[in-house]
Amino acid sequence: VSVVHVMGVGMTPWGKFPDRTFVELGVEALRQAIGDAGIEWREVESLSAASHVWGGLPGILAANQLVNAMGASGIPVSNSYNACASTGTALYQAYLEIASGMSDIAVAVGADKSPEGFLPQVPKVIAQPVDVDELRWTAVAASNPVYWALECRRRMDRLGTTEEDLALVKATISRHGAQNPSARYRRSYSMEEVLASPMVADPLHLLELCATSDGAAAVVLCSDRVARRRRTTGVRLAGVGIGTGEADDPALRMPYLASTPHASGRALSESVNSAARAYKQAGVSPQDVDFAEMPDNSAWHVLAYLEALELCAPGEPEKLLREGALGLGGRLPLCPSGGLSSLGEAVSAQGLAQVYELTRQLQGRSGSRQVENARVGLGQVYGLFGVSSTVVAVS
Amino acid sequence: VRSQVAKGDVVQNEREGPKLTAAPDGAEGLPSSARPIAAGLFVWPSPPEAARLLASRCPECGDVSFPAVPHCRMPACALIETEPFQISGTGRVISATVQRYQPPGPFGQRQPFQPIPIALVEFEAGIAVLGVVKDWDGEPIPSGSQARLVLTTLYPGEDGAAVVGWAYQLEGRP
Repeated sequence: VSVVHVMGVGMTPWGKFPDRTFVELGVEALRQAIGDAGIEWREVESLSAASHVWGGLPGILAANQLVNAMGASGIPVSNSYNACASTGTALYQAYLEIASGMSDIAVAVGADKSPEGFLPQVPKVIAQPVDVDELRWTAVAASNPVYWALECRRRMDRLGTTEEDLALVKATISRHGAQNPSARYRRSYSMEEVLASPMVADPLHLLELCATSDGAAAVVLCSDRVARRRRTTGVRLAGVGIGTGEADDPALRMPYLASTPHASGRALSESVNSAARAYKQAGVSPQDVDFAEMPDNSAWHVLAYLEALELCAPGEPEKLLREGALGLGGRLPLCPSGGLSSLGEAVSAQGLAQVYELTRQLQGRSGSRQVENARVGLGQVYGLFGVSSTVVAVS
Repeated sequence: VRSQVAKGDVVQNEREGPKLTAAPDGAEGLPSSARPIAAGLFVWPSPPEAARLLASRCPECGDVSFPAVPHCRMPACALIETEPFQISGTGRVISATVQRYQPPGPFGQRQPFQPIPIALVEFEAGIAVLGVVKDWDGEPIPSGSQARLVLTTLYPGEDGAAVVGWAYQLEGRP
């Protein structure tokens, strides 16, 4: 497979920006990324964007809006919607542009603005009988945190995970976010503060769940041919994997109403599958990973996905957490950016924000939150209907 | 999905007699104007104390799906047509939570908003189904609790009619 280089990265601050459009956010991230790459917009040969589903048709056609805003050069564009793995899918498209030789310089971008509060059902124009994403709201009132809480409870029953463990996840990761100038929540929280925050869906407290944010990120990729004569970040995009869930997965995945609990299937199989593809493509094993940006939509995710990513043995995450191994300076620092819990979730941008962090870390440009001797970084996001994308970046 | 649901309805009608549009007289606890959340999810009309969910089962591997699906989800049984299957009776709680913030959708419209207990209940057929818990006493719902599938009024619809769905009645904690 051809080598794919990260030529430049860009990212806006994350937060709530009611006066800014998703196009403005996307343009800011794109300008930064092409500036970081040291190229002109007219050198970009293809653009793939994650769709901003809350923006109606212009948002779904995000790439078409952004290519016009940047300079309508006639290049091919694509728009991906794969729930929270949308950016991973846009990145995959850009990766394939380079790996296939179709483009020498390809850009992936994600720009999103999120509704307040719980992410609701995506509005539909035509009725669809027995749509589980409607029934979850009309039959059960199952918000995303309800699904995570139910799986979290199962983990607590099985492994003895405590409420303090969940609070410690937030306390650990928020210390990283406090050092990230692009984060929305730039402060660290004590375990006491976390446990004192309102309960959203037992056992998950408000501060153990990620908020929904506005933000954008962009990545410029280039071929080996370009990398030989132009500067790059020195970081390679070694693997991009996309995976979906398996029928006998015992986990109840959003937005389904049922699961098969006692099957011999693999839990969080979409994550297992996307990671396996990324590891294989990158030629690295989980033991080679120096740090990871996790899909930390809740404190439970961090513990469960460490196992799905095979970064820990089953049952080991809580032990590593309590030992301090998952914080900066520890054996396996997680979410050095502060993760989704500090940035807030912007569905159609978050995977590329992870690539921004991976790249800057692998370049040694992360300042006070720098992971020492970082050579291999992993990022993962997962989404509705059991879809996941995993990125492996190598310096 | 539509064809499978229709298939389930036909079987249902054979067993249950002619279809009615409202709850039967004497169906305690459900107003006569009650209507289901959607067609094809559970036997309707039905007495509220014995809900039967309209699921599907693979004739080859026995995998059960709810809501019903036309073909087995297991890759080894790809495109094998399922048969109608009903989920009913008592199951075992394998996890539970309480939705404590007002969610989007009709449950969030209830005034004043009350926290909504939700359980994942495993049935003998090998499927676990999500549902709200009826008449919750406010105490934790540990896994291993027994829960019976019932029908209940969930909330008033936009037309004012009572909207009926499935729910769990706790029958005992471990």
